[in-house]
Amino acid sequence: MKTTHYNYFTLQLLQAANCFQFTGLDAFYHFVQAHQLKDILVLTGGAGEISSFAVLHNNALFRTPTFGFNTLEDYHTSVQQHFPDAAVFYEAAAAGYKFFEDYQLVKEAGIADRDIFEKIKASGFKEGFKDYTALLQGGNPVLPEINEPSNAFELYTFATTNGFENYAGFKEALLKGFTNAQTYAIAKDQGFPSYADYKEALEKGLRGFKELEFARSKKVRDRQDFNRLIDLEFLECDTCTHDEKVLLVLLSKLEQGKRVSINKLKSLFIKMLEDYRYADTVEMPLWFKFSLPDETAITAFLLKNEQVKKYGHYDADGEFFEINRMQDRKVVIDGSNVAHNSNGNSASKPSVSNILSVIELLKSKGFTEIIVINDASLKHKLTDADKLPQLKEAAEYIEAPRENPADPFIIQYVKRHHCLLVSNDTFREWKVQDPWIAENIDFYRLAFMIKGEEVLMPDLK
Amino acid sequence: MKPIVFSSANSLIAQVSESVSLRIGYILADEIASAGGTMIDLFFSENFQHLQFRQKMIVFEAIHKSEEEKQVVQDLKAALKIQHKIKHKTPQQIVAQKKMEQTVHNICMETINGFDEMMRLSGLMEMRKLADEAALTAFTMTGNQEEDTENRTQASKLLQRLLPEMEGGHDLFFLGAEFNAEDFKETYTSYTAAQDIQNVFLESCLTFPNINLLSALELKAVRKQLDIPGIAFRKCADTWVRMCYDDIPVEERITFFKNKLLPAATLLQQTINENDLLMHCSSLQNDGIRIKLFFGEIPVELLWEYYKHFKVIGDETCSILEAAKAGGSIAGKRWPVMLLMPPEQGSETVFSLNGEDEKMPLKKSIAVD
Repeated sequence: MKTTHYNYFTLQLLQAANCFQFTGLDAFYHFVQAHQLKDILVLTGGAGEISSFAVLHNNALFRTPTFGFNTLEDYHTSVQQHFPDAAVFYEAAAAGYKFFEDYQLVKEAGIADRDIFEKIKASGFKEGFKDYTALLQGGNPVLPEINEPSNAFELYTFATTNGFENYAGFKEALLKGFTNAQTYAIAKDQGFPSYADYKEALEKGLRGFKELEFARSKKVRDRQDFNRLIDLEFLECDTCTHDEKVLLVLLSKLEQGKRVSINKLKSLFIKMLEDYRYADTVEMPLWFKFSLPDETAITAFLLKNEQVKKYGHYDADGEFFEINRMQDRKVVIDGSNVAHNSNGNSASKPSVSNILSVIELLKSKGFTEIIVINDASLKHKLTDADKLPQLKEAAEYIEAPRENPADPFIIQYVKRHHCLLVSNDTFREWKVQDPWIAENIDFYRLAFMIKGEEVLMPDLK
Repeated sequence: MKPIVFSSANSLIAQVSESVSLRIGYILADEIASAGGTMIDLFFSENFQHLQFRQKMIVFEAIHKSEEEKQVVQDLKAALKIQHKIKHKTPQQIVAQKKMEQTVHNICMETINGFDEMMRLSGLMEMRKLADEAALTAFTMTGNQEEDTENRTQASKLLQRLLPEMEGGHDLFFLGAEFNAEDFKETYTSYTAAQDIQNVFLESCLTFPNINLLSALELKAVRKQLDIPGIAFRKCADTWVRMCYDDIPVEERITFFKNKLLPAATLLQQTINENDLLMHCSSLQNDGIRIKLFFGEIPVELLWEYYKHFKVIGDETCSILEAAKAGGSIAGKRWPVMLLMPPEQGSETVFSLNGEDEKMPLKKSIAVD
């Protein structure tokens, strides 16, 4: 609405014949507006102080007390901005605040710095506070419990202390249960839709919403449980139940070339299964699928399953399981490690001859399934690269993709097939990253030493 | 405190060590500096896309190392040269040339993706997201570490602390886990008593879970969370580092280290142990593995030897440092270092200056007798 500007004339009232007094400024203001009067008389008292506003109309003087306002415009603005009186209006104006709401916030919250007020406004918290109050009244169950802020400044302080830059971002996080911007960013990055989900994953030691969803769907309890499930699922034998896979793992770790009575095997199997029980509740995981409830089922599995044959065979008459000789197992050679004939000695020159020597020894001991996995870069460092075709003929040869280390491929291979591994690498760095490697790799790893023409492998007695 | 981590691109394990060092430095120090090519390598695949074909060919040549491959490169170059000489190409010739160029591009990208994968595996790739942070800086060096240009740092100057930006700075070198490698141990096991300025003095100050599991966002959060609790530790570390560079008597330095720095580290360790994200990091591994962070002083010549031994610095840099050593500039000097010690599964890492050779392990098996 266009603001009317008035002309002011200050004078002292001596006498007036027709004089009428309005009861309030509001009525006077409307009167002035209604009659489109422009000239306002400012009446002063004996001491020169402003006492009233007045207008002359139809030979009469219409007056009203000023109620502390200097001008009618000020009065009008004050009313529009909801100031309670002239004193507050002028106090606010002196502090630079045009709106009573703003000034009220500043007074209530004790904001001494105008810049902070501007930040509250610019970041949307001034308006946002109303929205926040409405959200609270709506009783949204996701809203986290925080010390309820009583004004926009408190809300702003809480949000900015927790890393939020504006109300929109704060609200977005809040509606998902987050009260900290960094936590929200981390959770969002990992796909968590709510704080409750993020917290659950943190407590369970799980990473990312997908992992949590998977864990929930499988009724996995925590990280340890999760790792065990994944390790069993990854093991070769897609049709096997979990207890069958545990039995396969057991068979893969038994001392080669020995006979184990079914009773002993059963007791080892039960012991291994027991390890899967939760330490606190002593219950088996809900995801764990069984199909070997008794000795009959175990023996049937030992007799019929194809994977079992990799590790040995069951003699039903003798009621024992004869574990294959080591030679009957599949063996993977850590090509780079053997080529260097070293234990982490990067200075030694790698050669195909070293790998060929190890293959020769393995073959002489009866190994037939030999796989060599190499770093792609190895071929550039070999002192005798011309022998590579010979190597490819002597064993199955796999090369890791260019610029990729072979270690992860070797580990994955052993993990899936539970085969033997020739390497002097203790995989110490990998043990840190994967508990399976830490717990299992030494069951499958065969150390070696090459002295001149001779290859020593203490495990191959 | 501004530790410097040298790039070590020679193996995945070295890259893991570099990544962990950068991460620990990032969450702990005022600033962490990466020296070498890592910060460039992190963006290599992105930058490669924008290279001109001529520049891509240089990369193409560099990644093909065997004689066989070099021959393929030469043949391709010759074919392309012929193509480029033709002034008015037929549509078929244009298509053929484009196909050859695309092949070069694809082969390079395959290799570069391999680099990226290696950096992803090592945890370095995540540091890319922190590259804009003021807390992560770089002393850039490319192939020739002694290249003296505006945007490059000379390795020899950095290692002699001759760079103008190091004057008055509290920079200390952050050594990797290889320091404890069997073949390097021999180099320093002759150094024994810590009080003797000629010897190595290292103390375990802090332990961390495997923070290589943390994302960039999580690292940012941890840095912020440790900022205030870490003030006292950083202040002590700065004072101690300054004492080392100012050649304050060694007894005084060690006394300060033991009486001020170690207690400050103990206090900070409590905060580290109680940090939610770091606790989560521990639970992800489910085994309470801790990486140890040592602080201490080592003779400057040993520091240089370390970088030389692990081929972090090239021959040219080594020669300059040798000359400096011969000139006596580092005689009797011991500089402060940080040292990362990798965890060992299921047991506390014991840092021994006189470590015994590892016995050849035998394959385990479940006994059936």
